[in-house]
Amino acid sequence: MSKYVIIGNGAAGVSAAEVIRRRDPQGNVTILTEEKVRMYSRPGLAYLINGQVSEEQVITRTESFYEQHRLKLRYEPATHIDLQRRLVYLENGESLPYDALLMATGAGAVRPPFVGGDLDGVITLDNIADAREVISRGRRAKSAVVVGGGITAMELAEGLAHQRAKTHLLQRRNRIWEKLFDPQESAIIEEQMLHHGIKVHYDEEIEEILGKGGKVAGVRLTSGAELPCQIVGVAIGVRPNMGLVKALSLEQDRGILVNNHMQSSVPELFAAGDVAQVYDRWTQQHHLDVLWPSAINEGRAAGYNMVDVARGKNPAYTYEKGSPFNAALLFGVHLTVIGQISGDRGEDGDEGGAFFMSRGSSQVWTAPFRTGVRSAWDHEGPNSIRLATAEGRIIGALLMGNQELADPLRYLVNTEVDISNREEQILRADADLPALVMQLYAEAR
Amino acid sequence: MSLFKLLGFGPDDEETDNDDFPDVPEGALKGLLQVAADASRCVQCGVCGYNCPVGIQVREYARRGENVTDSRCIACGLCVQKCPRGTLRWGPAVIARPDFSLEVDPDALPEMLEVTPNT
Repeated sequence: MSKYVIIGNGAAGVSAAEVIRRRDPQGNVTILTEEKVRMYSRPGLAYLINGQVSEEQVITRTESFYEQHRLKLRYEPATHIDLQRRLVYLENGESLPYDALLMATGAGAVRPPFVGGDLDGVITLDNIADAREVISRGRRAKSAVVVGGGITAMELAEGLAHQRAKTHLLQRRNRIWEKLFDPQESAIIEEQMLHHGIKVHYDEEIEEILGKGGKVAGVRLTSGAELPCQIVGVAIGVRPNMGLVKALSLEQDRGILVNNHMQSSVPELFAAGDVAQVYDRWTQQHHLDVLWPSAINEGRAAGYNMVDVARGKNPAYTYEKGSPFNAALLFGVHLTVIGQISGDRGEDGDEGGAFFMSRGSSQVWTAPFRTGVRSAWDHEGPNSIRLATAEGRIIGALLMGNQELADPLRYLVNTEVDISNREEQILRADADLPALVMQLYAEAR
Repeated sequence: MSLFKLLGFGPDDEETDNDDFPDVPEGALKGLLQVAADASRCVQCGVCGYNCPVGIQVREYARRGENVTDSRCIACGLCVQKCPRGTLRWGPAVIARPDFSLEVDPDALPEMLEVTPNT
């Protein structure tokens, strides 16, 4: 009887467990988690803190799910791994033998690097415990300052404002997402932020968090200005939870490097989800892919192959990473970013890089192109569509408002459809992009 | 378009400005459309089911990419409107789930993966 150990009870870990149970009805499956809660939706935490869903509802598997499928969920962290003897150790000294092991430990918020980062009142939005802090502290606080350049920072700001804390959001540049949005797109989000009662400060960073009696009392900004507050929300990126593998002989970078069967350099040790660094065919490098649907797909692939490996066979399932697909609801505005997009409208073949936007990474990265990246843009009321093209393909898109084109665009980007005979048409200033996209989509299928 | 008008009350050219009421396409009420889901967008947050006035766990359909075939669904459209990730939309009705039941088992395991040959 095969033994499977899964470290992590999130999207990747549970998805793997489901597939393992399907393929191996007899196998022994143990899931370890250091959180004292069943699987929950981490993306859903944004909606928990802004009052759109309850804590009970955001938990996404029932107790009977684990029981019915004989998945031994243990609310205990792993302390270390013995690769040679294939054992996972728990705090009490107990060891769990495995035929296949999955690291699905996820990623955690980067801790604030500035002085005062450890004061009581500095919070992140990493997990359900953090979400509870946001709610309880937000209700009591008079004001909060949020720092961070990505989606999580905005969700944190929206959540704190919903809890009635006077919320300030600090932005390093002079408009929201200056690298990715054009000025009109930034303005759409900024207007909604104002309606939600959030004050945005541009060209500002935290110099120091000020404390009193061990608690947050305010922040001093790089400009010298001081803002009193009781909460500092920090969302400046995430870092894979590598504690268990750092000292092991395992190929690792920011995360655990895996092949397209989700195997690490140790064949019976798999990784999936935020902790895994997977091959990306656009950049031809291994990258983190900090997205929920990716975690599910990776987890399922890992689970499938773990059964093969546990049975002494070669892993049969090949995982193929898609182009980034990031959907969010920011202050009432639906937003989807697909693939790579360029920071400005690009009047004529600008050589500026096109960026992948992902959750959890303050760094942005680019794929090399032989020709420059060009942008096309169409805007109607609150709806905005922007495309990035290079080498005769649509390499990315940004959609605000109406999302009807999201699926067609995802298809066109993922399958790298050749649009070279239409590229000039698309890039014309008066192009009807929605119509052109639908035409391309119809032709491509 | 308001539910009020769709049900045939009031003069035909009555304009309502009811932004609070979700956009229910005509086909929905005639039983021609159902709530359909793109599983790849679903983050299992549960906002859909939380807002369902008849208590259907829409999430369990959404994460499987299935239409909401639960016979209790009144096609009010609240889940579609509230979904933060654009997972839900109106799609052509299917009669039933693959196993011909109308309700999904929330604890059911997913279907088996398709295997790409090992190259």
